[in-house]
Amino acid sequence: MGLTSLNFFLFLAASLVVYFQLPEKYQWRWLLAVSCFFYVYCSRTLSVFIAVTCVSTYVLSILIERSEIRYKDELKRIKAGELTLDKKAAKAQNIRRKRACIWAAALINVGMLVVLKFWDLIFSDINTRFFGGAENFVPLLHIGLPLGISFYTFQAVGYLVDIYRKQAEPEHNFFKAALFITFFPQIVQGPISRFSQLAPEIYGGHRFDFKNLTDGFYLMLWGMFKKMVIADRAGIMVDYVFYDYQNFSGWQFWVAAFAYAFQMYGDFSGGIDIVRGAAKMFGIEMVDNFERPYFSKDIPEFWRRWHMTLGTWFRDYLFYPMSLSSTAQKVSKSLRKKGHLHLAKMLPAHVSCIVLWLANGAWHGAGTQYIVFGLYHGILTVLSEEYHGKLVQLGDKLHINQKCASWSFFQMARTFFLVAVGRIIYITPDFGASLVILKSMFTAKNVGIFFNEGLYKLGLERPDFYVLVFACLVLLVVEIFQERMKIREWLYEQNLYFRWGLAFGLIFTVLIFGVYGHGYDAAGFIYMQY
Amino acid sequence: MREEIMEILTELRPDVEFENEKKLIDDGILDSFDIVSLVGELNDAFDVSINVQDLLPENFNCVDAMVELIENLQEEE
Repeated sequence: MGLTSLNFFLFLAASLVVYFQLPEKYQWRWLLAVSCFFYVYCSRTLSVFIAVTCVSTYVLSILIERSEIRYKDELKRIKAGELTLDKKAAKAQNIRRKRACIWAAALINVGMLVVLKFWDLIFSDINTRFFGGAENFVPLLHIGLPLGISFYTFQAVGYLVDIYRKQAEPEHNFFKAALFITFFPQIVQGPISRFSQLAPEIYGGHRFDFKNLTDGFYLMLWGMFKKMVIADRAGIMVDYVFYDYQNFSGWQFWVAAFAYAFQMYGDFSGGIDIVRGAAKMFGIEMVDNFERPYFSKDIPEFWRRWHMTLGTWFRDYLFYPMSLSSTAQKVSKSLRKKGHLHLAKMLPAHVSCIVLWLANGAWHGAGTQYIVFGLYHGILTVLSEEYHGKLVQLGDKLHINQKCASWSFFQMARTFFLVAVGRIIYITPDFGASLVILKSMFTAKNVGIFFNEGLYKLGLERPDFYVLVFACLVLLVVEIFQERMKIREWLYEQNLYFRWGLAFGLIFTVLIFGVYGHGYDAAGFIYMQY
Repeated sequence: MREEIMEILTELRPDVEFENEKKLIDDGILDSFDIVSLVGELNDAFDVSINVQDLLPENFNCVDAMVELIENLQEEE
């Protein structure tokens, strides 16, 4: 049941109708029921994996809480002289117990994710290279990936770490905890919500509110425009050019890389808009995952605005623990003593950043190209952090007005260029092919494609090409306005006829210009199987 | 203590007016790299151990919040 399929809309409508008929205290149970139905309908037997995540997360959250209660009790008994243990030892034991729970969670849940995602990919490659056939030595699993496995795994692990850090209270009701993990709009492709933000939204009751319904509807419609009119149309060109890359060269790759940037953004952020819109119809607010990332002026800013919930997840649960670990702090201290003050200050963050990006690369897939992609962004982020100040100083020395619009535009274009090039690294299944494409791009000579109808030979006929360019311009204009104002709030201030005219216009645009595949269903979302 | 924190902050980010800023984290003025450097410096200067669980916006949004965090940690230790 894809997020843009008719089945999904019927399912959503039925879920909403029943939801608002129920007393508020029972509404969360209904959400759990429809979430379970949605998951089992989409994943069938693979649903067993999310069930394991729900059970293990619940049990471990309670164990962490019990450890904390035991520690507090020990402190009381130490104070009363009933226990001979000293406070530091009790504290250390508590940390050890709680850490064991986190490791168990990582082993079970991240273990499932890693095995399901990488086992077949890695061993079919090893079998083929060294044993003459994909199935010749290490047996493959052929299980497939459960829907949204990395999103719900990250969310579950984050929940446990928050309890460990006392930043969230564990949910004592197993079914409520299960709802947090399985909540159906977010299960497909995130966002990766925090318990403290999402729990009150999904557990609390909501009364029917027409504004929420229309707000959610507008958001879903806009998401469908981005997905079906832009991303799926751009995807045709991207597939056509990059899967048959031997037949193309130079500027043709640049045009396709540009299309790929819009495909990725339209697909992922469009999907998130649909998810948030669906949740909004229930009255449930979900965190946003994109903040117009192509307006970013440097790479770190881009990653703060693109897939924000994954970025903050990596930051809070990987980057900070690594860079503030006792080992990192010891190294930093020792460097400081030796007089390497700058290195002492930056080294823990830089090393953690590279590791984080390698993990991010691996999350995108198994293969050299994903590791290189991770390293590319890791190095760019480190360089940007290290030299940002110096570049600003250099600009001042050269008397460049760094506050004018043209300079901002230059910075945005530079970031867009770096991101687009980075994506070429993993666009083909073989890293060697990506290098061939990159070489061709940087030695491009065939500028004639812009003047001799060459643009219409990249998989899209002239009318489709125009629709794509026009739709991208619409997206750009809307996003420029979004930088300055809340468009949906502004819409509510407008005349009713204008609002409905716009909504119907968007509906017809999606219906007429949307790209449909088999059975009039849109193409699957790129991040659906992550 | 406050002056020393101000000195560390100013050295870390000379472009920021720390006296007037009340939302250093919420407004994204200090990024994660700044935070890691800052924590290292504060740990060293005040002989405390700021942990990951202390990295809440309310502890780093302004200079006074940082002073309070360090005082609390010193009391605990």
